[in-house]
Amino acid sequence: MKDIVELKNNLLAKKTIALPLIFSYTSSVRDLVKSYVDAIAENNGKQIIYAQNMQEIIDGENSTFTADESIYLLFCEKDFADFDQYASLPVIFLRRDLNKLTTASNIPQIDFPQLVSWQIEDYIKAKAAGLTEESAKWLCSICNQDLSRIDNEVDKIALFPVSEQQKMLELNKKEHGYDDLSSSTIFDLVNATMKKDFVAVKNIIKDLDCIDVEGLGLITLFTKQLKNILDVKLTNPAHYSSLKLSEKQINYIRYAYSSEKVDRVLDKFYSLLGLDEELKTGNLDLKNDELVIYILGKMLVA
Amino acid sequence: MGEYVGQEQLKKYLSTLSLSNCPNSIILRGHEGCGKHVFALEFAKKLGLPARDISEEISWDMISAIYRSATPAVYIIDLAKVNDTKLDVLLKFFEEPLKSIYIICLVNIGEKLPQTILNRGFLFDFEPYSAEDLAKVLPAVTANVPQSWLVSIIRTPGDVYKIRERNIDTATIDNLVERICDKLDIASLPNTLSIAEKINYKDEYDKIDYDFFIRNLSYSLYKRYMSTKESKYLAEADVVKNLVQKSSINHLDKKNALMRTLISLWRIVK
Repeated sequence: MKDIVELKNNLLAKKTIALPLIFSYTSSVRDLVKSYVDAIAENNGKQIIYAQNMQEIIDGENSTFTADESIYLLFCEKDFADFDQYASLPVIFLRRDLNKLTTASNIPQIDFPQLVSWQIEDYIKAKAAGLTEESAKWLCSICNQDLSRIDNEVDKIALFPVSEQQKMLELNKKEHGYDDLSSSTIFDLVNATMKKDFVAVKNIIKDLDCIDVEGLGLITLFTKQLKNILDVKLTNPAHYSSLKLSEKQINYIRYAYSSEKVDRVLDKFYSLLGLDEELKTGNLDLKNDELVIYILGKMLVA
Repeated sequence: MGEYVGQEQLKKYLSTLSLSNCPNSIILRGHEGCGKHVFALEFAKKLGLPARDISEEISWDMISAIYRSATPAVYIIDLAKVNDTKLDVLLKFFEEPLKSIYIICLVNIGEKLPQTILNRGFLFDFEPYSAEDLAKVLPAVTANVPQSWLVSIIRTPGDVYKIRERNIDTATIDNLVERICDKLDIASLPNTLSIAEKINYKDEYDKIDYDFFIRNLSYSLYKRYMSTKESKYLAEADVVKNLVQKSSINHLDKKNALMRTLISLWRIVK
């Protein structure tokens, strides 16, 4: 498999797609990537399993009880030192990065090129011809060039007659109908912060006005995550069944936070509980924006 | 007022009150269950006025209606039930009462009281109840309660009623507290934090009562310190005492506060 064109042709010809594959893309085309993954699963007659880590895939493949009917999807935060060791597994590695692999690999790599602005604007104009060029550009920018969000918004406008479309967009704009447009959620913020993914946190903070993030809610989510990490780290594996966590959650915490030291997690947990106390007893009076930044700072620096 | 146990000074003061010498804005401060509400009703009875608890229905419209009608009455407001937005309305009402209106604010000890209310109101603090007074409240209940519980853990008549109504088993609480005092130094952190799951914070009545548990823990740790003179028990007792004091604050997340205290205890012994 050389590139996305060949993959597309093979899918259209209903050919079975050989795995593994490496998909490289940016978030703006994630829906496109998903549609390709779905098409591969359908063509190969298999079901998709989202794996948390490589071990889960290896275990699944080695299990006597797993029939040979799954395609695994694995998000790669970082490139593997040696992708080729997994050359026999039915897996699609998902990289949110268009750069070349850091290490050479024989596994075919499919790049999903980022669409340029004019292509997306043309797409908008094709679906809602009544919109002006400026409006198409504006829609593109508030949706952060995310195709699925643009598609959602344009679909709504396209319900109206062409002559009314521009008027409806203006009206919706006036009534703050587009104020909450952000693909990020409070959970993305919590996950990015827990992983200390500074770039992701920075991007989400830019959209903070559009996301429904309450300081106290943030504290609750962080304390819950930290408590789970503490439970897993400090509990003897033989007693995992006593934790109110699924095996998947336990495995995820063990691998994702393996380098986190217990003392530091405990310090963060303790200080967030203290913050919660100060806020609820009225000793600390902060505006929501200030509080959110304060909490994120505490979590990222500690 | 004859059935009202203890609080001799308040009773004496009440006997001297009449419509001509009674302050219009009064603050009654005491532990939960000490009898603030009952006292406010007695107060209204003494003045010969109707009493109305408006804690949960306070609003600008309601206050305006009271001002317009100007009907002589005693209005009772439990601050624990008043949220921040309603507090502004209350301040206005409390600062400028009509001559014919009497306002009684009920405040729990430890609850943050706005300075403006404190400055404008006539403050009465409830005296602590003695073991003898508490034993008189419901003799059938208090007779079955360990003597050490009276005053140190059961502080008010309200606590005695709570034990009867919720059928609280004092022995279960004693056992848990003893185990914590004995075994905290060998417990793991998840073990220690699991204590927080055994407690009733609101209405899980099959679990251990939060207030009695923390008061018992604080008391038992002090007792341990007095008998062993080991400084760790004193440090632990101080931490729990701090929690007991904070726990009367209405908006406190008791589970989080308890977890934080348990971590502090765990850190002291490690």
